[in-house]
Amino acid sequence: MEKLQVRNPLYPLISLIASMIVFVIGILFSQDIAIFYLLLALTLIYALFGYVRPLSKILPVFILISIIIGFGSFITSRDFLVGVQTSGRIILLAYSSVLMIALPPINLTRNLVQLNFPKVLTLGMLATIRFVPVLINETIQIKEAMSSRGVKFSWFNIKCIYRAFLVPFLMRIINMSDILAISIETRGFTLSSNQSSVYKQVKITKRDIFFSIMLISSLLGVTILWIN
Amino acid sequence: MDKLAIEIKKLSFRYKISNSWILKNIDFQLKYGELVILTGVSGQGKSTLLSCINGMIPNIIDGELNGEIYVDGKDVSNLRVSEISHLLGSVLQDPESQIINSKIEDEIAFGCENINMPPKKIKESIDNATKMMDLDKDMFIRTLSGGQKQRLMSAAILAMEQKILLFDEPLANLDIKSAHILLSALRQLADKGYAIIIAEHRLELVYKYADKIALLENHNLSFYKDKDKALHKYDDIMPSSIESLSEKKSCFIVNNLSFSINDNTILENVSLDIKKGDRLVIIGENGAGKTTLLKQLARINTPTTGSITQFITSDKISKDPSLWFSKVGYVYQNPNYQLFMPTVYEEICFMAKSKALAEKTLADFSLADLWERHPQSLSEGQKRKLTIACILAMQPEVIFLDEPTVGQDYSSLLEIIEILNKYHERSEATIVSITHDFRCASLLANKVIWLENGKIKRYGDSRLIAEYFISQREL
Repeated sequence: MEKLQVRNPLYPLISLIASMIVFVIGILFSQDIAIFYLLLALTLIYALFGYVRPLSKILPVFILISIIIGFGSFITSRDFLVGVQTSGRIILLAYSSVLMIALPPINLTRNLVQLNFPKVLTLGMLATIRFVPVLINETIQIKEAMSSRGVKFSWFNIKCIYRAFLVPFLMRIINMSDILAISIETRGFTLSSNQSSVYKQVKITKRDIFFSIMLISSLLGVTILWIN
Repeated sequence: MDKLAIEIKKLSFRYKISNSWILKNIDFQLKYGELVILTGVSGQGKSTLLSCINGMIPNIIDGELNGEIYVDGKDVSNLRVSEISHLLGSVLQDPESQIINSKIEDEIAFGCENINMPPKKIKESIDNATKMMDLDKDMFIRTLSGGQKQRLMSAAILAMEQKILLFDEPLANLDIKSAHILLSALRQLADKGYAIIIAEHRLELVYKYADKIALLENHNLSFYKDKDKALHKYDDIMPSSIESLSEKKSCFIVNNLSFSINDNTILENVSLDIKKGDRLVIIGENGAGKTTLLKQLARINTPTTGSITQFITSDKISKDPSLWFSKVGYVYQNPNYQLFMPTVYEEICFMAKSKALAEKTLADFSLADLWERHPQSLSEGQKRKLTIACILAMQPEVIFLDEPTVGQDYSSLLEIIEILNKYHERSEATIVSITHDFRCASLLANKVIWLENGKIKRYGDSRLIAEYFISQREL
């Protein structure tokens, strides 16, 4: 995940709100040619603000998924246009999520702490994001360990999955969650107190305001185009 | 009279699920400026005692607790763990599970932020802690080895600057150099007035840094009057006789093996010839590529370039994991991954040559009484023994062991090594092990590979072990 992060990310709350707005408005345009103008405008804005690298890394994956789901949609509806629109929505998801994917999670956490969001939300979010790669790694480790005990791994063998994969996997996850909970408490974390500091304050800059203006202008422009 | 850092009066504790007391009438005092090593056989209550001090017992772990505990003069019986954490820092086992950030700097800052340390002071503390633990604060945590993660968790606690520190087996994943980095730093802190308790099995490493050595035995705590006496029981440990590098048939021939993940090269142009019947020990610092090499030999991972030729079985069998792993046994560093059957007995019978052999092996490892238990309900030390027992009951021709004695007390360590060596004598199996433990390496090796930065630095007989460990001490 760190490889997708940008060096100079936008203000986290602006990234979060922009990400949601792009998705919602994009969905409105998804049945119109205007969606392509929106994607073009977003590509230009992302290029200006240094988000092309993460976009280019996630886009191939989303395009692949969009082709598969779009094709499925075309088969069930027997309408080519419906298939294209479905694919467009998946690609739109890449454009809306890239702002969040490229943001170091700690920046968002610190931003929310500064804004006095509940600690359970900020830490929960950080721990959840951190656990995604951990879970992937644990899955790989357990599959390797199963193999080393002579168990042939197959997702279709329910007994094998339950016994040789799920049991160690769940035990490990429960164990890790317990240790993590104890560790954060021994490191002074408590839900009941607001007495905490922020090591690196996240501040809004002119660049963030410029990004917001450009994004709103583009969305308005595309909306006018859509109305006309 | 000076205020004590920790004072324990008549402390007794038993777990909710147990009828017997694990700690009974313990009295203990720790002064500021003292570094005390807490030692004892596994399961005697070292971690339990630390958990009572840092408040995990009774706040998180249930049980019956009697007696009084004072930390920096304050009665902690009614304080939460997070409140006690302002008074003392605790470094727990299993660092991998405790990390929530992606960068070293942010992970260390986490605790400091929680205790409301000003940002300027946090920066200073991070710089000091990373310097002390020899870490680069800008590094991403995913690139760290197990030992570096252990050092990171120590740095995360040191940065919080509590004057009382508890360490629960902090050397478990550390190579000798890293262990001495941590221990020297702790000694310096003790000299500056910090009070430190370290629960640790590897006495030969820690004893010279300690002011006192406490022994937890039969539910009671006592101190060695002369700390050197704590080491006497290791006097009989001498490196095994040096066997000649005789000409035997090859078991594995490794040719120009390299392995990389993304742009990170872990092994580079490794070539070696492992003979059948060798007892090979791979040594090297954390992150040198030891586990990666072991996994390559066991065919768990495949090389990026180069080749490994095996002479154990046919190529067809070697490509079928269930057949290959009946010839080759692999014991993971973390036993939890390899245990999945409903009982200890079924676990060992899963791949055993026969039920009789399975039962005998369980008895050899002193696990026979636990045959009905769920493997995941055992202690970490028992789980590790069980995974080794499961592999030996298969009677493999090759055994790969990744840190087989981590967290084992002295008698368990000797028990495991003796069983492994007897198996080797009987079957002439090839045993390839990784260890950071001098005692274990000395007793398990007739040949040694010294890895450094993914390359073979030295290859030789067991004399190399002493050379390696001495070089690490001098660093």
